[in-house]
Amino acid sequence: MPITSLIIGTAPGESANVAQQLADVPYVTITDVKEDSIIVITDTPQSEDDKTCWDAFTGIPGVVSSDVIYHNFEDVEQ
Amino acid sequence: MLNTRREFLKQVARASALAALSSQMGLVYAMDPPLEQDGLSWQKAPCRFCGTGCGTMVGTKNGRVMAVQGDLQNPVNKGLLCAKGYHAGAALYGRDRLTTPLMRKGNKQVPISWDEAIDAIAKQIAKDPSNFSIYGSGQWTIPEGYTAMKFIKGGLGNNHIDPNARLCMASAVVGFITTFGVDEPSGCYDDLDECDTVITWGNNWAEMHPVLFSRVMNRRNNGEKINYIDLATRQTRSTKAADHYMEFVPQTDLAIANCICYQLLEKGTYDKDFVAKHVRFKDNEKKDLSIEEYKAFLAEYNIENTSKLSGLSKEQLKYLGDIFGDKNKKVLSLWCMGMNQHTRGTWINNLVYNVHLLSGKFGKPGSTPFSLTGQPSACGTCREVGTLAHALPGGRVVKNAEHRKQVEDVWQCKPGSINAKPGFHTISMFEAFAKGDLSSMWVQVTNPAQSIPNLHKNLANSDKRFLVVSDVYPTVTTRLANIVLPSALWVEKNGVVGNSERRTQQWFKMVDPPGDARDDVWQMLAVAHKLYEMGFAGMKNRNGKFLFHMEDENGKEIKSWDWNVYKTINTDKILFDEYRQLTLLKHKDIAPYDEYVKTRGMRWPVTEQNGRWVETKRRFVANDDPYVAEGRDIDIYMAKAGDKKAIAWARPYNAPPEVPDAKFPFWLCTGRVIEHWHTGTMTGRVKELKRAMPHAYVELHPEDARELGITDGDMVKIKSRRGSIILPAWVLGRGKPAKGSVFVPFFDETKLINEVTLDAYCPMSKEPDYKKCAVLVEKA
Repeated sequence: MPITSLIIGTAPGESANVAQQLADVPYVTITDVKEDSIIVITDTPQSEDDKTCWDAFTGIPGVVSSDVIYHNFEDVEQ
Repeated sequence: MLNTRREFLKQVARASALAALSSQMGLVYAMDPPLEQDGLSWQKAPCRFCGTGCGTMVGTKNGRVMAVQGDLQNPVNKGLLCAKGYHAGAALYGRDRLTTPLMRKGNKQVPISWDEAIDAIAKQIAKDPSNFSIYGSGQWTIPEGYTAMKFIKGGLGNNHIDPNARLCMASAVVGFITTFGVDEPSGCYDDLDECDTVITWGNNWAEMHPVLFSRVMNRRNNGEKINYIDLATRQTRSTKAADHYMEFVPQTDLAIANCICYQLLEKGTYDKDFVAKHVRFKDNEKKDLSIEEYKAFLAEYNIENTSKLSGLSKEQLKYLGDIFGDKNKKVLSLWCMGMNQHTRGTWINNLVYNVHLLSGKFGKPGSTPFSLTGQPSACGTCREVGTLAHALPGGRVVKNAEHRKQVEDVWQCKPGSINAKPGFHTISMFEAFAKGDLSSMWVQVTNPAQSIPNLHKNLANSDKRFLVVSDVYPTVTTRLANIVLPSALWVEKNGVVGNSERRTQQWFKMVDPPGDARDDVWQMLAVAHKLYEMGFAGMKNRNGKFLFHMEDENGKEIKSWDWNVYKTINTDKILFDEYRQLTLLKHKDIAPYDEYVKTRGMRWPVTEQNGRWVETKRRFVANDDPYVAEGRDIDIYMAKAGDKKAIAWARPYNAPPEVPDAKFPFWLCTGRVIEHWHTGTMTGRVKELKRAMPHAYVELHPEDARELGITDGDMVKIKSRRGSIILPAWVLGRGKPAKGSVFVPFFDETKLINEVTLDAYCPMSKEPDYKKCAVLVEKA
């Protein structure tokens, strides 16, 4: 059950729209919405779901980058 | 309790992201809550994977890596990591880690003890030391590569050592040396923060160097205007961010670069002062040319001719000429495998330098050519230590008697120990192994049975030779081996590496390797000492002591070959500080080991100034590089002619050795994907990455797919004159190749595209071209 934080970079003026769409992605918590970036935390039941989330972010219109910052996998069996 | 801890970890995760965000804005805030409060022990380590050299913080508990986060204090990535980076910790814990030495007995590899393995390897080497070879890696740490080089060049007196870096950056090396007289770039990552125009020459940096890509895109997101030109043969994720996509016919980058130079001279927009002070011209026969003669050579690369050859429009070519001709533009050129894996890889490196030298866009903040590197220590280990068939540490070469003597003196070898004859470079090494001219080979930290081109030819008979493979997981190469040695991985050992921007970074061991896996350095030391015990002359230094003699502060010998002793000492520090003595000759000075412990790395030359160790941001540039002579703005101080000038070479367009024809009508280009590191042996064990990109595929242009009756997921046969494979099609996937070409990644050991690729190589750098050969494409 990894916990990951990401900074989602957004196109100018798009962060509110992007945040709305991010809120629909499973396992995602939005913690901070800035002018051109959004901080999200993912808490996924399986390690495989983590990357699925990450890929979903990049497909959202208005998202220009997605950078992982922190990844804790202390209870994950590889 | 579980919920409490998970909530706490989420707070840490959020705090990390907030701190990273502020770090990108030039501010560094302390994290709240601080990392240490999550119950993990946190230490720095550069990422295990690509040549970017991102800093990570690794959280461990109970002898296991539990978490990874981007290192906020590391100026390379400022807290960011890519998908591979944050899974670097998970890559240690695949279920099938190699944990005990194995020896082939009949058709099986059976467990043996370390003593048996070391004994068998030493005896084999002693039988035929001059025909033993080492095939290493740009993923070797600096101490690992240094040990391997000293073992074979100092101990065995042969030079048959080459790294897989030959396959990825040898053309960059020869390009640097022929133009500037010395290897490695003037620029650095700070140029990403200061450029206003980026041109990538055949480089998908959004996937291959994603943190550097983000660094520029974040500037854009903050409202800065940055013009990005993607000059390529295939549309990629990078293309999506480009202002201009310019698709050229493979190999015609040579003509395009010449065309830009032609326009600069024809229009008079070149930087006359810079050229007069810092540039000389030469033809392919090394004869000096006047600028007029050089211009006459370029005449055939006018816009009209180049447009016909390259497929770029006249407007696109003119646009490129105007960009470089604009004195106010700060242009950063970036490239990696697209230019280096090229049968004229050295020439295209020279030609991009020509463009920047003529335009005066060199050595200025944000305006310079910058060669990206693929592997974490291709620069630090292969290029600086010099683990190449012709090289010695610090830019020395085996052919030079004075260089050999300098190295023999530091190594305390008997005079004449180092052979003056260069050894086999990578492709010739595998050809010699196939023919039996080499009797044995030790492979460390790489997987040639998947990565060497034209596998049928170059791996023939390898199962009949004596092959030792050190690795962390079973691979297609370990399956061929007589002896398999289980190795420690990343933070299971100490390490020092050097990245693309001349930055040397250090880390300490944090967890034990699994089972009986052991460090690559120890493996080499143990075999060297076994040879010494057997009376092998080369393993005795000029004082009769072990070649790798080490002493503690009391002058007592350290038994580094004894694992129980080795694991209690830091041999990296001893080896690194010995190697450091050899870095001064060509001004590649590095600091003492202990200085790197304190920092997130330093860019060489690192010199002691007023009691402080100071790095060099931009090399050859006044007020930064301490070796620039007083009164000069730019000083190409290693110019071979001693005139302090870079050479602009008149290099013509040269057609590739194999082009599509009626029988094999498509271009094949191979490469990497963001999820996997090289041959996928580590990233393939990370479930998240494996699931995200489970197998290789062939990417087709939609029109080609339609004409061939191929749709997504259909099985497609790719056939060349050398071999064939069957892969699923991906038509509207991540990338879009040019019409008439296909792309296949090489990470998948079940679909070996290198059975198809050509092993033609650049005659100067000996680097093979994986980016173009002719294939037939048909529905399977």
